[in-house]
Amino acid sequence: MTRFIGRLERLVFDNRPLVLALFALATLGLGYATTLLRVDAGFEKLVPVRHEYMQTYFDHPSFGGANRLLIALEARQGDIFTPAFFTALKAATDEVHFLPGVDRPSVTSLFTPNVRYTEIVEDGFAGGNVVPADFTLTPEGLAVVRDNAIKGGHVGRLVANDFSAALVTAQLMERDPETGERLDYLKVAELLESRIRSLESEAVAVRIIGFAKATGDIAAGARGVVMFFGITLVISAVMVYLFAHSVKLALLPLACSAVAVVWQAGLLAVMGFGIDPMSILVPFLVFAIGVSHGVQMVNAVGAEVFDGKDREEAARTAFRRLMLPGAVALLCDAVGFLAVLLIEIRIIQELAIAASVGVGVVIVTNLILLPVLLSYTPLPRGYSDRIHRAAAFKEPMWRFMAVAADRRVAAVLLAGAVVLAGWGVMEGRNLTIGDTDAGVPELRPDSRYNRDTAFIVSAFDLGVDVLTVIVETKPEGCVDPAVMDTVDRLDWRMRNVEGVQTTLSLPRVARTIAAGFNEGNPKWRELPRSASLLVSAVAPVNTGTGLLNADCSVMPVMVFTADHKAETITRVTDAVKAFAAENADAPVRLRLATGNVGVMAATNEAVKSAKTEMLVLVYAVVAGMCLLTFRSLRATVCVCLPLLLVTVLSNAVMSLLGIGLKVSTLPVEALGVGIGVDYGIYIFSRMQGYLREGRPLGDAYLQTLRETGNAVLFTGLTLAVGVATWVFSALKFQADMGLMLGFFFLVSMLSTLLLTPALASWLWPRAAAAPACRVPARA
Amino acid sequence: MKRRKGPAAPAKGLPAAVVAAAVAGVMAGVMAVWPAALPAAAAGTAGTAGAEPSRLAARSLLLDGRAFGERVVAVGERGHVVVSADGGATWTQGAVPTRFTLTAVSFADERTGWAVGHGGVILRTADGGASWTLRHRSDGEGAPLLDVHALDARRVVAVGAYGAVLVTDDGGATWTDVRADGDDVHLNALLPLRDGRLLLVGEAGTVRVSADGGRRFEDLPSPYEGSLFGAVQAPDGGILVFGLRGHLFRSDDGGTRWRRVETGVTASLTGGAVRADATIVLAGLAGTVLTSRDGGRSVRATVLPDRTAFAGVVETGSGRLLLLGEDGVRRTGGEIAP
Repeated sequence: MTRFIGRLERLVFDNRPLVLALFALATLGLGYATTLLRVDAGFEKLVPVRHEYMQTYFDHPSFGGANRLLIALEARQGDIFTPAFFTALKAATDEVHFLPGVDRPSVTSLFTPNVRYTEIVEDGFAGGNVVPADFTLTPEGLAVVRDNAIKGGHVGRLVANDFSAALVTAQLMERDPETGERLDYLKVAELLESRIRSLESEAVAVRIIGFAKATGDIAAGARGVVMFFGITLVISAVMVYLFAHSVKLALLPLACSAVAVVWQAGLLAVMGFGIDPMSILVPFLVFAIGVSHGVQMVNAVGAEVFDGKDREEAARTAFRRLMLPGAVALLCDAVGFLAVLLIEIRIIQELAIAASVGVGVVIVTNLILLPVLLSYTPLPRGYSDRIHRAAAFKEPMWRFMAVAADRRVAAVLLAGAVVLAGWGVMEGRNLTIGDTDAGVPELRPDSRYNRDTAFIVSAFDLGVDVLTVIVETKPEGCVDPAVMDTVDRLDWRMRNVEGVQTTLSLPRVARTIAAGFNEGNPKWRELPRSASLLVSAVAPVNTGTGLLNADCSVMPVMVFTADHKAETITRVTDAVKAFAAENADAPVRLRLATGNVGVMAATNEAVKSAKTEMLVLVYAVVAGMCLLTFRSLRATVCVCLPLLLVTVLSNAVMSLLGIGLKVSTLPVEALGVGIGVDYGIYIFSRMQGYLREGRPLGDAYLQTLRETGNAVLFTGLTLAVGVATWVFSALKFQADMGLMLGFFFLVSMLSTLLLTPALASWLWPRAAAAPACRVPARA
Repeated sequence: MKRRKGPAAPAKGLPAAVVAAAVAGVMAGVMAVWPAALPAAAAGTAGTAGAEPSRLAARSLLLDGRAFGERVVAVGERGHVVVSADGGATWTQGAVPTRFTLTAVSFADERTGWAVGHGGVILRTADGGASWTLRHRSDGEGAPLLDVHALDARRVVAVGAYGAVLVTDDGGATWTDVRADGDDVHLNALLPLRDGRLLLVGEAGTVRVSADGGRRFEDLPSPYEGSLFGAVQAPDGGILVFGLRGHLFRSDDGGTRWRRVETGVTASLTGGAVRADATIVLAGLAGTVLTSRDGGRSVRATVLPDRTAFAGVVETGSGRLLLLGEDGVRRTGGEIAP
């Protein structure tokens, strides 16, 4: 290995101009490729498409409901029965018809012909459209509409309970039924703003929710990422300068990390990937990791110059010394990130690939390009003085921390770690799966979208959280009393589950219709028990209601839940499974689950089941790489155990902060381990070198701290501060990811700096017991 | 034959348009999807399986109830019987051997009672509603029974769809169908009058009275061509009958002459009760509640904002008013808000 690295060193450093030219060329080419990157967001990317529930979702797209568009017009003063309001409502209804992807017959508002009223009169029924053909924008005309809306039972559905708002709803089709083309949600979102939100006036407020709108808002939030990138850049630059004591030396690792980001983005474009709101975070990560390794390199070169070597020789030595641990650490990252591929949700898999490619690129840019560039860089005058002063300044801190290698102190540290781990395991048990906030979890609770959701939910009798159980049966199943009875009982059973607000299904509606045929007398609200009576009770229900399909072989049971907490979802899905087991011989097949909560249930299950597998794989990879590098089981334990503590603690912290385990936070656990192991590998490889020289552990660790610890400490702080700024992102998941990544950067640094030597003191008893012949700092 | 199974719509272009007010928003736009072929009718299991114990039984559709002091028994959909010992604050569910919707309940005394419902079921309790036994059910489709009245522990009258009148003299061991020949109107409600006669109201303005405990009913003059859903007797002896589209009539002469009482509402009136303080409370569809302090000569209408459908009214011994309907029991302090 050493021979290989030596050859690589000669290959690179003997041809420095050529190497630089190649890098320049590649950067130009990949830089051009980045212009091909497209923002790419779609519903199917966000969900575990191979999960059983998602199969139900895709088998029955018309019952999904997740792709519904809800537009509420709110009268800012008084009620909706004003000419200004109805003009706006008419305009909104018309505009919705012309949005791309809208299933036109599904458009529903007071103005659409599918909105009717019926009433019982002495000799039968009377009824018509809620907005009659001869409607006029006069007080009289509006009074008629008001009456009809009440008679038709549209209050609470299309008209707010307090008459302060009215709804326009429509179903969007993800793929054009004729061309098969994917719907451009961002375009829809843009049109919603330009055509419909623009109807807002002094009299009318417009509130829009639905998947298309949420996607647009998330994409808009993702655009703010550029600003965060800038902030991270500035913070890193300042910190690198403080570390390197030289503008030139600070700029080089930053520039190389920027090159890594360009390469990563370019490579993704070449591989045909797009950018979505989640993978847009990867460039930060790559940049931050690049800076961290770059700083190690600058540190090493500085140390060599310090020892009196010329700059080229210093760069060559640093290259030789860091190539192995650096590459191993980065490979660890890359392979660790790939473990995230186990989560079968495309958006996460793309994040994993993007991050892996990114850290792979860092190997080239910061372990090869950077030392080459450094070999050209004359160190500023007085540089070594500055280094000396800084080293002298930090020396007491290193001496203090080096005590961790003392066995008695180590015992205390390890005992503390065990206690912390115990607490972490206990607290981590309360970790919730999924999201707990109301509204769309990707956006902040106080975002416009989630405020609009809150308004619509409170003004109308509408649940936005629905889990739909699909009942499949034979054709014309809805006139089979045994089938309908089963569906009816499922509906009632679900309604009784805690956390369920209400339910809706064909039998429930059939009961009401049966009463309708008997003058509305509630005593007739019973599910008919014969085929002939069922025919009349279900005949008036058309497929547009979403309660049955054309040949009546599919009937959904919609379960509206009070929230989408994981425990609520599990209670509902468990109840469905129990009911299915009890009714195994019923002539129906019950399929979980569609609706937005059904999708969440699938996502939660995918996340939950992937978690253990993913962590086991990440740790297996990390441990394997450590074994390979250090050829020592003890070394592997020294590096991996401190990380394990961080993983355990991360669960506890998430539980304390109310952050659930979800699509956005699960990958962080893998990324966190990958990044944490960097510290351990850099520290341990240096310490192992000194131990092999026969130095006592205390001295070996002190010397390691002076050289590598400096960079590790600095890196941990820089990375943590960089990602901590994400907490201010408009995107809730970015904020959560930032918080957790920051935690991993900071805590795994501390854990490594303290526990690795502590473990070593007990695993290498002889070295630990050797008399401390403290080598003075190289002053 | 007034039973409307098909469209009898005065407005054109309303095939099978039904009131399904509660679901109109969902099933907006009625369009016939008549199945081309019908599979053989399979019997539902509603009659053979017992009511499922349910957390929300007291919040399901409840159609009728009775109170003895603070003890209340109410019946409704899915074979639900709910019993409260504290004036309706908390409820337990009775054990019922059917899942058919129960439409009415009547007690001979605090312990002995009867409930009737769809499928022609008649149930009896001997423990104040905690457990029930099946005493009758009809074959086939089983037209519903719509009301029941226990004259005493042994003599019970039940009435229902298509003119059904069932009586027993032996506490339910045997039931005799005493319906009038050729009668096919729905008989909706029974009311024991203070003079010992039994009043019966039903579809198409039917008003009848029986002097022999329900074996033979005689027609009284009808005040209205629409359906009547219920009746109450005012403290002064006046009889009130009410029904479709807010219609309310009062008779001061035992049912010979009727006078229309203006209610100001068009929602159907479905149930009523006379309170201990002589106030009459009638409830109906779409959140309608009428109160009268003059024996029903005039009424004050209130429409509850959630427009829920009511089917019955019960007053407890302490004067608490319970409204029964599609959302189960609604407990009011006494006054109907607002």
